[in-house]
Amino acid sequence: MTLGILVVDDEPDIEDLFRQRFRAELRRGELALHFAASAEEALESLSAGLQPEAVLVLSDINMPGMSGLDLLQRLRADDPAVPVIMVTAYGDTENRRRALDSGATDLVTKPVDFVALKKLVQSVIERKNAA
Amino acid sequence: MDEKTKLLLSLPPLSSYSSPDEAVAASVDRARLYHDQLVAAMPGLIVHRDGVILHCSSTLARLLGYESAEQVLALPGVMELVPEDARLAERDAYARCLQGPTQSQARRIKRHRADTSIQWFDQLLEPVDWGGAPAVMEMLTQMRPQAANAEVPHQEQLLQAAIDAMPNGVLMLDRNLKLEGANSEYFRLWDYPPGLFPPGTPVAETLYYNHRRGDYGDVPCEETVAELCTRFLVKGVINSERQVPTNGRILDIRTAPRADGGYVITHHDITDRKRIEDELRQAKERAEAILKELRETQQQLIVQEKMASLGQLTAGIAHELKNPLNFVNNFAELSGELLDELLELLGPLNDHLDDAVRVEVDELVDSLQSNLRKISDHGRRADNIVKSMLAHSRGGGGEWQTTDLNMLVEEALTLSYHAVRAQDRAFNATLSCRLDPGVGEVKLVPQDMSRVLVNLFTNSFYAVRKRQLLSDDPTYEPRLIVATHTSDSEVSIGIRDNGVGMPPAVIEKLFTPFFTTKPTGEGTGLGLSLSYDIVVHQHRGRFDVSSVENEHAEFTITLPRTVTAVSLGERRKT
Repeated sequence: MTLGILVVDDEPDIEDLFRQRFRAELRRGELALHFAASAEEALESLSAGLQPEAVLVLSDINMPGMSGLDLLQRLRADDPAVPVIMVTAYGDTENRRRALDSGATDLVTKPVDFVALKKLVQSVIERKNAA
Repeated sequence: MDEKTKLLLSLPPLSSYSSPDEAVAASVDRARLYHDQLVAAMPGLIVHRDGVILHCSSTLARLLGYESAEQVLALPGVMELVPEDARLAERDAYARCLQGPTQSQARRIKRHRADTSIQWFDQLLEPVDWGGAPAVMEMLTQMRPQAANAEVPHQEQLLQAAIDAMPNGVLMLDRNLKLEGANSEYFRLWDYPPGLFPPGTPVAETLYYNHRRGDYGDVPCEETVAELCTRFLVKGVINSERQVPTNGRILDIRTAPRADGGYVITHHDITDRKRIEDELRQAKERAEAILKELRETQQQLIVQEKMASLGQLTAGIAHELKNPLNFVNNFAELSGELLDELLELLGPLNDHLDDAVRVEVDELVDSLQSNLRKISDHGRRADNIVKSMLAHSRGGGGEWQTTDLNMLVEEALTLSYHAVRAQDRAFNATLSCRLDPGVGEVKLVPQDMSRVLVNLFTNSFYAVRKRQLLSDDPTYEPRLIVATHTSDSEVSIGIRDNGVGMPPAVIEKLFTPFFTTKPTGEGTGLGLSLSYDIVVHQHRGRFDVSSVENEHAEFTITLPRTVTAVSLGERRKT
């Protein structure tokens, strides 16, 4: 079964980075990556329906327009089932607290440790499959 | 009518009185007038010794309004006749009289009459032998306003009235510094009882009196009086700020020499003026102190603001750099992985290459791998710098805790010394701690303050090590002195080293982010900038630096004992 992950970040190179980092999983067909350059775009594509369906959202916090935390709140309201992991350069306690209070599953600081992120994704997927 | 009768009748009448009785009565009246006139002009005599009246002439008794001399002799003593305010002067005059004939001039004195009214007399005193022992003979002539000799004392009275009316204290001294007179203001200003110093008193007596009542404090009596006496001789200000302790007055005392060799000493009450002057001076000093404080605060604010905005800028730059750096590091790492995968895929093709090409391929692959390693290394280095920069904006990292400051200082010192020695075994320094146990516990963020101290100690060790390496002096001893002090509201930590020191230009830029004197790659230039942020912004303290090049450098951190806890991050966001 292929699981969809939506990555929301205003940096266009994030797509190459994720595709290369997760190249093994992509090649094996375990994962499908969707990308959105803004929170607005993410909400649009989620409501339009993604194939395969996104079971995990990874979102940057600092983005032009709607912020990652705003997106988090919208997603919590619209679709409480989808886990959201925040990715941010501002890894201070206050941002962490705000993200977790708003319902984020976890918070990952940049530079992204992909080994840890992969484990995190794996655990989310396992939980999803178990459910 | 005979001849004789005619003659008598032709003569003018012998008397205007119509009858002999009338003529007798008129004669008696005239005789009484002549007698009174004579008695008034006649001197009365009184002789006394030790105040006891020994003899009184009937003339004097009458002049004083008594019926007879016996009534005067019956008085308890001669002082009964003297008004109270003049008694001191009289006693003095009697005493001087007994020492020998002194003044030939009559004294103008006053006496009580029997009806207690005052009668003025001109007095002459003479010592006489009375029953084998000396006594005072006093000749009193009733003062007659019409008499020529009354004019001179009258002038004196006018003078006395004039000086009494003056608003200043006036003291008249003769050439021998004896009192000739003083006005009532003089007595009031000095807080003397009226009449305490009668004319003729040496002025030194007044100074002894002052000394006795403690005006001059605990000073030798004779020397002080002698010194003050000489001041009366100098024209102008004697002692412009003499204070009278008993009434708190401040007197401006001036001498004006007179043509006859005497002196007029004026006493001007400047108490109010001094008070106003003092108040004005105090107000001025207060205003100046406030102005100075304002200037310093303004200077501090400017520096703080500059540092704060630089800190913010630094933090902003760090965040902006973090994203691209993230990509550089990730893609460098990924490229390494991809290259390995590529080589694995191409492995089977190796056999199809000829040797020369394979060597070239291997070389290119080696270069690529080495380049990627370099990108990773420098990316990590940049990442470390960014992390240090971010420490500026890190929020709520440390907890405010009541901390034993001396212990914190000692721990930081030990930690820094070991860290330096670990890198450089040859290094040794004399460390001396002068920690004031009164410092006790202070509320601060121990992690942050420890970081500041370690940073300062490390800098000091660097400075002394540098001086040791640069100088040829084999006797040079690296030394570090750490001291703590306490006051009511503040504690301070002083760190002094005898290292290379800093020129003023360096001190000026010391707290600027990225400013460093270390070679490229050795220091980020963020240590002191961050320390400043922690001490000044987070702990509301002060950071002072002084240095003389190749002599010493001293850093002083002053912290308030009580401070509202703020974290750097929280402060920034407001």
